[in-house]
Amino acid sequence: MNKEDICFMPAWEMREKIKCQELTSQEITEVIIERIEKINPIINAYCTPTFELAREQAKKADARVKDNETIPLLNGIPTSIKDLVEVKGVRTTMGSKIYENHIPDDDAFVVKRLKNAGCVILGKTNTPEFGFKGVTDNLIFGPTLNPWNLEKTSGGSSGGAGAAVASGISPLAQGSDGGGSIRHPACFCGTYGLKPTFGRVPIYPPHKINVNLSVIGPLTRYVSDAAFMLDAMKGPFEGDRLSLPSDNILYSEHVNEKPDKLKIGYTLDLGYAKVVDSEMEKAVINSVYKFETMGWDVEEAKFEGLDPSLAFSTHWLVAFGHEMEPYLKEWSEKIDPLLKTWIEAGLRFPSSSFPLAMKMRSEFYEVIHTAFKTYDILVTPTTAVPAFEFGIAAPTKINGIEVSPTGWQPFTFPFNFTGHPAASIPCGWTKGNLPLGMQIVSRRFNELLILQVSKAFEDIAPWQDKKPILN
Amino acid sequence: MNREDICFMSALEMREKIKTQEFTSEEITEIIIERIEKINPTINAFCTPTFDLAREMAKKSDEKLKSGEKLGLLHGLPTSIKDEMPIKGIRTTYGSKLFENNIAEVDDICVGRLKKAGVVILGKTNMSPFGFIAVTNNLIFGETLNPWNLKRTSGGSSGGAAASMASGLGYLALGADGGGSIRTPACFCGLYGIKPSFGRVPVFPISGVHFDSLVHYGPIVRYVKDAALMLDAIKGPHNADQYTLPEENISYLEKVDEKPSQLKIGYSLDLGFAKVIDTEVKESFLNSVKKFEEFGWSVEPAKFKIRNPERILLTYHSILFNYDLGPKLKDWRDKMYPDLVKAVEAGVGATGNDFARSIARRKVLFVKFHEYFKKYDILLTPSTGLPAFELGISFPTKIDGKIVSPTAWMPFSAPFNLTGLPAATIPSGMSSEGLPIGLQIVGNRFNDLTVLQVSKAFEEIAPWQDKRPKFE
Repeated sequence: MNKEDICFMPAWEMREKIKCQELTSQEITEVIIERIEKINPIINAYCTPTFELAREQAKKADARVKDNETIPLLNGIPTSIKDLVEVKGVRTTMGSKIYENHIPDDDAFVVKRLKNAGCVILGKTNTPEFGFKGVTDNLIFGPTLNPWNLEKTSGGSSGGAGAAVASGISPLAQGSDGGGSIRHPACFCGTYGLKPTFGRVPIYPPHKINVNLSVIGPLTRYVSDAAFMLDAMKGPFEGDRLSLPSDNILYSEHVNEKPDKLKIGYTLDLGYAKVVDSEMEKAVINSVYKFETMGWDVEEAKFEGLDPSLAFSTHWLVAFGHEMEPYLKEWSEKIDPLLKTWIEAGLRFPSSSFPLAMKMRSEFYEVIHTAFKTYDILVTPTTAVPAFEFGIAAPTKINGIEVSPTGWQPFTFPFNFTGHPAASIPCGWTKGNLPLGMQIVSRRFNELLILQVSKAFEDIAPWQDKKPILN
Repeated sequence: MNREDICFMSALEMREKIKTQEFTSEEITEIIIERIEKINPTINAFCTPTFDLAREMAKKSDEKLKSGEKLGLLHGLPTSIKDEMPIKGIRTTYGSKLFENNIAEVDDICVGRLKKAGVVILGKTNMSPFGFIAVTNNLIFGETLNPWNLKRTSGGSSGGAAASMASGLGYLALGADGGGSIRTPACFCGLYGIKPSFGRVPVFPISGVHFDSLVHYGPIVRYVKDAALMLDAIKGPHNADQYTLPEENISYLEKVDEKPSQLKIGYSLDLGFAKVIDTEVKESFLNSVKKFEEFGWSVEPAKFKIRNPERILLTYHSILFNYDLGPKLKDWRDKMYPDLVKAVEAGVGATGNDFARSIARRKVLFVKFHEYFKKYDILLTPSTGLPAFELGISFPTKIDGKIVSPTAWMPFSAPFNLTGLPAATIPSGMSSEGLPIGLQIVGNRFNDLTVLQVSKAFEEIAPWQDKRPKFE
C-alpha cells in the first residue's frame, strides 16, 4: 500500500487495520504528518499542528491494541480539531488576534469525548474570526485555500477542516456549524459533512451568548466515517442546557440499512432563493432522481416565500454585538473589518428586533415542520454556487444575476434556525473541476436517516476516486 | 361515600373506579359540576366552564367503556385547562381584554393529548394577563381567591387551576409556568405542582408573547402519583415544537413508587441571593428537609454564589411585552392590566444588546446549577418566601416586617425557568394562620422521574391530603 492510499483510506478501515495490527496508529500518523508537512504549506488548512501530541496519542493507541485493552471507538485514528474548540495546552485562537496566544487549561467537552474515543489529534484547523463568515481567512493565519483550485476559497467557517479532509491530511475532522459552517466547506471541498440535530453534540464550555444555532459535527471523506465520529461525540452532557438525551443507538451499526419507503422532496429555492448556478442546479436534480433507483419517491417540494435571512442575521449580529462590545475600543484595528461592521450593526439594533426575529424564527420553523409532514427527506443544493475566488466574502453575481451577500448560501442557515439535522454530500464536479454539493435534511432527531440516505447515495454515486492534485 | 369524598379522590383511584364501573364518568362529572356551581362563585377558579362539552365527553367515555374499546390513560377524568392553552371552539382569553372574545381555532398540543387520553374537560381556569403577574387577577374575570382563606390570593398565574384543585373541583389541572406560575399557586393552595424539564412537554402554539424557552406546561394535582399519570399523557416529542425532547420510553406512573437507594440532597434557604424568608416558612422548611434522611439519603446545606437573576427575567419580560403589546398600548391602555402596562413601558428604549446580555447571564446561571448538580442529585428550597398574602396586591411589600422588592417573595421559581431544570412544589406544612407552606424539589436535567420519586417518598411520610379547605 502506498502512502497516499493510507492517507485517503476510510477511517473505519484504518480502525480495523489498527485493531488487527495490520497497520499501527503510529505508522498511519507518521505518514499523514509527512503529508501535512508537504501539503499544508500550500493550502494552509492546519493553523496549529500538534504533532507531538499526535505521536504520543498514537503510541498509546497502539499500546491499547498490544495490551488487549478495550478498544475505543476511534482508536488511533488521526483527527483534526477546529480552532474554535479548546484543546488543553494547545493554542486555541478562535481565528482572532484577541486570542492569539490563548492556551486553554482544559479540553472542550467534545475534545474530551474524542480523546476518550482514542483519537490522535493532528492539530487545529483554520477558521475565520469566531467562525463568523462563510469563507476561511483571518488576521493571524491568513486564508485557507481550496485544494481543488488554489485560487478558490475553501468555504467556511470550518474551511481548514474541509480542505484538510479533501487533501487526505485529516481522516476525521471536527467542525462546527452555526449557519452552514460544516456544510459550506464540505460542499466546496468535495467532502461529506453533517450538522446533527441541535443539541445532539454537547457544547461546553458554553458560548458566552448562545442564540441556539451552533452545532458540532463531523467532516469526513466517507459517510460511514461520519457515523463513527458522531457516535463518539453525541449524547447528553448536563453542562449544556439544551443537549439532547441519549438516543441509545450507534449510528455506525445502522448506517448501511436502507429504509424501505421514503418520500423525498427537493427544492431549488425554499421559496425565496433567487438563483442557483446552472451547473449546481443540474447536478442536484440529476442526483436527487438517483434515489428513485432505491424505490423511493422523489418530487419537487413547493415552498411559499418566507425568507428568514434577516431574522437569522439579527440573531448573530445582536450576539456578536453583545459579546464583542467590550473589546471594540482596544482591539478595533485587530478585528476582521467585516466582523467589525457586524458588531457595530448589532449594537445599533433596537430591542424589538430580537423578539421580531424570534417570531420569524418560529414562523419559519412552522414552514419546515409542515414540509416534513409530507416528506421524510428534503433535498436542496448545499450552496447556490461552487467555490468562488478567495479574497472576497461573497460573490456578487450568480448566473449573471446580482445577488445579496447571502445570496450564495440560502440553503444552509435555515436549518440552523430550525435545528433540523442536515448534511452536505458531493454530487458532481463542475467543468472547471470544482466539487458540487447536495444538502440532505430530515426531521429533528433523524440524523440516522440522513446517514442512511447519504450512504445509499454514496453507494450508487461514489466520489472518492477523485482526489485533488496538489504537487 | 359522601359527595365531597368523591370529589377529593385521587385521579388514579377515580380512574380505577370508572374502569371497574363502580362509577360512570357521567355520574362523576355531574357531581363535580354540581360542586363547581356551588363553590366557584365563591373562589372564581373557572373563568369559562364548558359543562356541555364535559357532559358530551363523559357520555362518550362511558360508551367507550361499554363497547370494550381500548381506554385512554386518563379515561373519563374531569380535568381543567388553564386559559392559556387554546381548546378548539372554546373562548381562550389569556386573561386579557385583548382576547376577550377569542374563540380558539385549534387545540393546543397538550389539550389534544389530554383529549386523546380520554379526559373530560370541565372548563378553562382563570389566570393573570398573559401569565405575567404571580397572583391571579384580570380585567375580564377578576380575582381568584384562595380556598384556604378567602381574603388571600390563590397565587398565579395558574391560580384558577390551583384554587379549583384545592377545592375538589376536578381531578387533574393543566397549568403553565414561565417564572413560577405552576409552583407558586400550587404552593399557596396546598397542592403538588411540577414544572418538568424544559422540552419534556410540547408547548405549541404559543400565543401572545414569544418567550424564549421559559414556558413549561405541567400538572397541578392533589397527589404525586396523579402528576406522574398526567405527565405520562402529555409528555413526549412533537415536531411542531423546536425544543421538545425525544421520547424516553418510560412511564413515570410505573416507576414513581421506586425509591432511589442513594441520593445526595442539598438544600438552600437563599440560593445565594434571597434576602428574607418568612419565619414560619423557614422553620417548616428546615423541619421538612430532615425528613429525607429517613430514606437513607444524605441531606446537607448547600452554598450558592448566584447573582439575583430577577433582572434577566425582567429584561425578557419588558422587551418581549413591549414588542408584542407596545403597538397596542395606544388603543388598549385602559383595558390593559396596570402592572402589564408598566412592564410594556419598561421595555421602551431597551436595546437588542440588553436582550443579549440577558441571554449571556442566563448561560452563566445555568453553569452555576450545573456545578451544583455535579455534587448533588436533588436541590431543596422553600417554594416561596412566604405563604399566600392578601388579595388586591400583586406582591407583598414586607416579609417578616422587612421591606422587600417586588420579586423578593418568589426568589426560588424563576431560576428553574431560566435553566429549564425540573422543579416541583409539594405541601410541607401549614402556617399558624392555616395557610399552606410549600417545599420545592429540583432535579438535574431530564431527571423528572427522580423529582417525582423523591416527591412521592416525601408524600408517604408527610401526607397532607387529610386537610381540606372549608366552605360555608
